[in-house]
Parts: sequence; C-alpha cells; structure tokens
Amino acid sequence: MTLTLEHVTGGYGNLQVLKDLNFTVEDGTIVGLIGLNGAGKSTTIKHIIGLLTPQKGQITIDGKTLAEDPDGYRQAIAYVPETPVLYSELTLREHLELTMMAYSLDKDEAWARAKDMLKKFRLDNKLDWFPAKFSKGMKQKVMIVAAFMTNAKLYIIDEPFTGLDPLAVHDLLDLVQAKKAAGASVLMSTHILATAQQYADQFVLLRSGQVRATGDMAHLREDFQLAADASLDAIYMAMTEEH
Amino acid sequence: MRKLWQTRLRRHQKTQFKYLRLVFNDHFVLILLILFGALLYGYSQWVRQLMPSWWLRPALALVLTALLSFGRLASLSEPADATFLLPQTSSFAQYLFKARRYSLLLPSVVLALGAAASVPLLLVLNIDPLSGGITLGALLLIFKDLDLWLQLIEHYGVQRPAWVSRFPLFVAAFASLTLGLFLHPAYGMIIALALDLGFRWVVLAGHFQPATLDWLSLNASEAKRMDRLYRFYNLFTDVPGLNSGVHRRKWLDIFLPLVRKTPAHTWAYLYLRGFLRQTTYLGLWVRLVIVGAVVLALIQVWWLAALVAGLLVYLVGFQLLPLAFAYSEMVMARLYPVPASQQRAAFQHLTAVLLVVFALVLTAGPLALGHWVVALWAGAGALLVAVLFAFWYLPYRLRKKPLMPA
Repeated sequence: MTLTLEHVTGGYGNLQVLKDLNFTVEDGTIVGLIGLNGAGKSTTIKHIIGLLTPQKGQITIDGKTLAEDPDGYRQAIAYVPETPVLYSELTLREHLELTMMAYSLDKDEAWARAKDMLKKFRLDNKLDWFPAKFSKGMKQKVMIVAAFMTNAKLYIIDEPFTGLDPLAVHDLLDLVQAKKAAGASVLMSTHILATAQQYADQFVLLRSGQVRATGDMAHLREDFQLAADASLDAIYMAMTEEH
Repeated sequence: MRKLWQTRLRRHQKTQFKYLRLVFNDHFVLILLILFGALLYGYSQWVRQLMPSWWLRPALALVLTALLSFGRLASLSEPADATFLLPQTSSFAQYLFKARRYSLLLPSVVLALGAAASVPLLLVLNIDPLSGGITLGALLLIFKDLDLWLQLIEHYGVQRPAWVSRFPLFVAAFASLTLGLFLHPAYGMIIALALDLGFRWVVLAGHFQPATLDWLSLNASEAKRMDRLYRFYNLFTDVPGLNSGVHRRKWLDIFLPLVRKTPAHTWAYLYLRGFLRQTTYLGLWVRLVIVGAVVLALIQVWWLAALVAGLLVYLVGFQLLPLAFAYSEMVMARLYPVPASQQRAAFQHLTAVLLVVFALVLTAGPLALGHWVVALWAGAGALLVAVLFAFWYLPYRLRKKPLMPA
C-alpha cells in the first residue's frame, strides 16, 4: 500500500490552508507528521481520509483516488481522530459490531482481535456501557480498538497520546509496530517528539501549510545542518526559528 | 449587572424569535388554527350542556394548578459565568431579580388566558363573572410570583423550613382555588396575597444572603430549561448542536434482531438504535399513537376519522425527519466504506415501517368500541398518508437536503 500526495492544495471553503503538499507513505513504514499548532496537520489528515476535497492536486492510495473507487479507498483506511467521537446511543459492543458491519469484517476474527485489545486496555468488562460513562482516555481507547480491529492497509492516527495513560501509550505503540510488521503503513501526527523520534521511520515536517522537510532522522539532520546526534526536538526548534 | 442582563436578554430574544418563526411556519399555523377553532367549538358545546356538579370545582382547580406549574425561571446564565463572574457573586443577585421579573411575563399571559377561559364556568357555578374572573386572574398571578421566588432561592443557601418549597406551594394553590370556587375567588386571592407577602417579609428580607449563590445548580437548571426548549423546537426544525439525551431502554432490545447484522444493513442498525434510544423519537411516536387512538375512538364521523388519522401520520412522519440527519456531524460514519445510497434507503425503510405500524395501531381506538366502519376509514386514510409520506414526500425532502453535508 502506498499513499501519495501530489501537489495538494486545499483548505476550508475559500480559506487555503495547505499549499502544494507532496509526500508519500510507503508500505511497512511509520511516518510522523510533525508541526506547530495550526501548521496544517489535521487539515492534511482530513484531506487524506476524504472529509475535505483538495482544490488542486490529488491524493491516491495504490494509484486510486477517493472519487475513482470510494469503497475501496475507504476500506483501506483506519482512522483514529484527535478527539474521540462515539455514538451516544450505542454501547461499546455495538460500536465494534457496527464497525465490523461497515467494514465487512469477518465477525469471529474481528472479535478475537478486539477481545485481545479490550483486555489490554481493561475495557473487556465494559462492553455494555454507553459512552457517557467513559472517561476521555477510555473513549480514545475505544476508537483505537475499532480502528485496529480492521484489516486496513493504512492507519491514520491524529494526536494519539493525549489523554492516554502511560501504560496505554505503550500498548498503542505495540499495536502500531505489530501492524507495521504485518506490512501496513502508519501516518501519525503528534507533538510528543521523543516518542516520534523513537518509533517513526520517516518524518514529514509541516510549516504554514507547506512541507518544510521529509525523510529519516539522518536526512533531517543534514537538511537543517545539525550535528549527527541532534534530536528531533532540536530539529523542530531549528525549524521554528527559520523564516 | 443591569447591562449584562439587557445584552443577554436581547441576544436570547433574537434567537427565540428566529426559532419561533421556523416553528410557526405557514402550514403549521393553519393546522393550529383549525385545531384551536375545533377546540373552542367543542368547549362552548360542552359548557352549554354542563350542569353544576360536585367534581367541577376541584377539577377546574386542578387544571388551573397545572397551568400554574408551567414557566421556569429563565436565568439566561451561562456555564462560563461560574468562572468569570465568581468575584461578582453578591451583585449577581441584582441580575437574577431582573431575570425573575422577566420570567413572570409569559406565564402571566398564559394564566390570564386561563382565567378568561374559566369565566363561562364561573357563570355555571353562580359566581359573578367580572369580579370573579379578575380576582381569579390575580390569584393565579400572585401564586406564580411566589413560585418564581421559590425557584430563585432554590439556588441560594437560604435558611427556611422544608415546607417552603414548590410542591407545598401547589398544594396551597389547589386548596385556595377550590375554596375560591366554592365561595368567591377573592377569598383565594387573599390567601395567595398573605402567603406571597409573608414570604417576602419573613424569608426574603430576613434570610436572603446574595453571597451564597450556588452557581452549579443555577447553571444546571438553566441548561435543563434551555434543553427542554430546544428539544421542543427540534420537533419542527433543526437545532444545531442539540445533544439529545439517550436512554438505554434495555427492554427494547427485543426489537434489535429485526435488523440483520450484515454490511448491507449498517445504516439500518444505526437508525433503529437511534430511534429506540434517543429521547425524542420513540416517546413522541408512542404519545401520538395513544392520543390518536383515543381521539379516533371518540369520533363517529367516518370522513373526519380518516382526515384526523391521515393528519396524525403526517405529523409523526414529519417529526421523525430530524433523525435522518442525526448523524451528519459524525465523522466516523462518513468514512464507512458503504455506498451513500444505503443511508437514504435505510431511513426510508425505517420511516415506512414506523408509519404503517402507527397507522395500524391507531385503528385499535375505534375497534375497541366496536366502531368497525370508522376504524376501516381511519386505517385507510392513515395508510394512504403513510405510503405517500415514505415513498413520495420523504425522497423529495432528502433530495433537497443531503444527509451528509459537505
């Protein structure tokens, strides 16, 4: 699976946020999407998952755009939003059931995968709860279980760590790495730079709606002319000081 | 604080006006006028053949007491007040006094109309209609004044005996009204006046401490009031951002197997649960079907029964419409790899089933009394409207407004 953004320009209505974005997410890689508040991380993600349509350029998954193959495109993506969104009238069990129906998953396989994750996140005894009873972290875990239960080839995770307890952060990172090992790709936006540096293979650095730099750590250090042991944090600070 | 109240009030009235214009649109006003006319005619017929009997006085007192309980304290407070105005807690009482006075306005009109509508009954009870009507109105207004004071001090740490609260107030109002209808409403008015003034002198003047305002309870009751108001508006038009409440209603899970759990039924799965568990829809459907069955049981003219049954089906169908758009803000639902046509078809199917069942249950009213012909006509009228609504009007509406706006 390869996600490709070519000359993508877009935003909300007349407000242009993204200017000529180009990057790819290859098979079996974890890509960190990094940038200041308002740099366009969430907007980029909204364009990829199809909530917004690019004004110019195109976004393809394995060469196909959303318009060419809507169901296939959507089937390929699993998405964990920045703020958890749940149906107030569905129980946890029904959320998972609905996801299985919508993504045409095999029930037994999907439940087996879900049960493992629910146990890990200590949600396995809360299957009949309504979301109103969940804390923010628990809701985020429900979103993660629903997304990682699918057979998606591309996982898009927006700010996954806020609100999660440290144990859950570790469990999530385990899940991400397992999916990578299975050949899926992951695009993850985050402000937790130390974690990103440790787990991501490639980075996309956004500044004011444009790609400032892409590549692995070695490439970024070279680009910003920093020492060979410079951290992602140092690279990030160097980017914010540029004009 | 005076300025704050004025800006809040202006903003509140502007939004209310906007919604009221949407609620009272042309065809709704027409239906209301017809219903109101029929009601007046029925009432005048009923009064004409009425004999004064023992139950008339307490029954009228009960109706008027129920009317009295309408009207909450509109504080127009906002959750942010509890943080930003915390240092101004004491002077906020001035704001709330103004809010209380404003809250008296609408109930006054309703109660005055209630008193006016009681005048023909006063005649039946041999009470002078002019003095009786005026004192009856005054009695109701004074009790409402006291009720709003009680609603206000609920949010303050006011030292008072436990019986100084709303429920005993309504008991007292019912007793004074019954007494007033036996003798003359003026006696009831004197009781109301004594209670109101007594409350103002003893409780308010003696124990009111403006610094003890409980912001959280004030905000909670205002949120509840606005929620009820918006839920009412939501029956007629879309209220953005209204998070309608949900109830688990586990006993209704017996209906869930009606939708098979396959990818083709993804939207049906969601809509069925939305209908059964969101507070608005099921309650409305059940209320209208019960009222409708009772009304149809009383009607003996076949064409009127068919008309009323059809009208009821239209009303319930119209008020189910917002459910179609209940998930338009739901990001995850937009990402499902299911064809967009499935959502429309699922809602149409649900509406058709609900309206046909509604139509069939309606006929139970006349059937129970053995009115076969009326039941047949009512059923035919209701089914006709149900089919027209689901297969002609609904597709037209859904074409006009997309289920998932861009």
